[in-house]
Amino acid sequence: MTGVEHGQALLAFASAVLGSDRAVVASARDALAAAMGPAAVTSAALTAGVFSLVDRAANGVGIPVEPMVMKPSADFRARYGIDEYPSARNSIR
Amino acid sequence: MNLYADSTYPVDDTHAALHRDELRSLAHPGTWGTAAERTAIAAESRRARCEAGLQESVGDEALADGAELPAAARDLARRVALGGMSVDRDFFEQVRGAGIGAGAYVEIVGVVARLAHLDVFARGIGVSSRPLAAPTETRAPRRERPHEACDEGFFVPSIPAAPAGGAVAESIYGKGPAANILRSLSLVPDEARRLNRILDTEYFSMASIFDLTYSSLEGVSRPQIELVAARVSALNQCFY
Repeated sequence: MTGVEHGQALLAFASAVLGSDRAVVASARDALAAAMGPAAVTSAALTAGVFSLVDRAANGVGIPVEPMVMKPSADFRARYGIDEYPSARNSIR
Repeated sequence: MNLYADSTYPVDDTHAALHRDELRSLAHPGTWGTAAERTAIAAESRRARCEAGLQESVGDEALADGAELPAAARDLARRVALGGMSVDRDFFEQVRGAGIGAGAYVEIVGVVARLAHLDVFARGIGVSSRPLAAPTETRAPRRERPHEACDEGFFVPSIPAAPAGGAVAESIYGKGPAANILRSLSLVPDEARRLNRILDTEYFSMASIFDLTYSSLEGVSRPQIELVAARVSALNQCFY
C-alpha cells in the first residue's frame, strides 16, 4: 500500500523504466495508461527522466543532504535502508 | 516537427523543444570539452547503458570513438551512466589523479546525466532514444573556471548562492537560496543552468516546490510525482 492513488501502477512503471526488460516496460506503461490516461504516462516518464538526471548529478559530484533535512528524515532513512546507500557517506560523516 | 512526433503519448511542444535543445547541446563545444569530446562522452555513456541492457541501441555508439579521451574519462562516463552509485570521493580523486580537472569532471557528469534524462524519458513513453548528432563545430572550449567557486563540501568546488556567489550565482539561481542540487554542477555554469532549467520545466522551481498542492505536470498529482521520483532515486541508490 502506498497511500497514493494508483501508487502501485506508478511504482511498477518507474521500476520497469529503469529496468532491463522491454516487455515489462511495455506492460507497465499499458497498465498505467489504462489506470490514469495517456498524459499521466508522459508525466511519469518526465519525472523518471528528471530524477535520472538529478540522481546522477548528486551521486557524481557527491552533494550532501541539507542539514535541515537530516534529522527529520532519520527514522525514515533507517527504516528503508537509505543510510546504507554508498552515497550516504557524502552526508553522514 | 515535434521531437516526439512518433509517440503514442502526448509530449507538448515546450518539453519537446527543451529536449531537442538538450540533445543538440551535447554535440557543441562546452566549457571544458570540444564538440567531439562531448559527443564521445555521450556515446560512451549510451554504450554502457546498452551493454547493461538498460536501453536499446540506436546505432550511434560508434561516435564514442570519435575523440581521444583518457580512460578515466570514459570510466567516469560509464559509471555515471549506470546511476553513479559506484562514484565516491576516492574514485573522484583517482580521476583527478589521471589528469582530469574538476571542471572537466563536472562537465562529464553533466553531459552524461542530461543524456540519461532524455533516454529514460524516451523509454518511458515507448519510443527509441533520439540519435546523437555528430559534432560539427571545431571551436575550442573556453576552459574558464568561475573565481566565485569554493569548497562547499561536495567532491568539486561550487558557486554559493547570492550574494556570496556574486553575479554568476544570480545568473544561475536568481537572488534567492539555492538547494545543493541546484549548485551541484555550478563549477561549470552552463551545465548548472541546463540542470536548473530542466528542473524548473519538468519538476518544480524554488518558487513552487514548497506548494504541496501544486502539480507541475498534467494528469498526476504532487504525491504521484514524488512517488515516481522516490522509486527512481531508490533504484539509483541516491541518498540525496
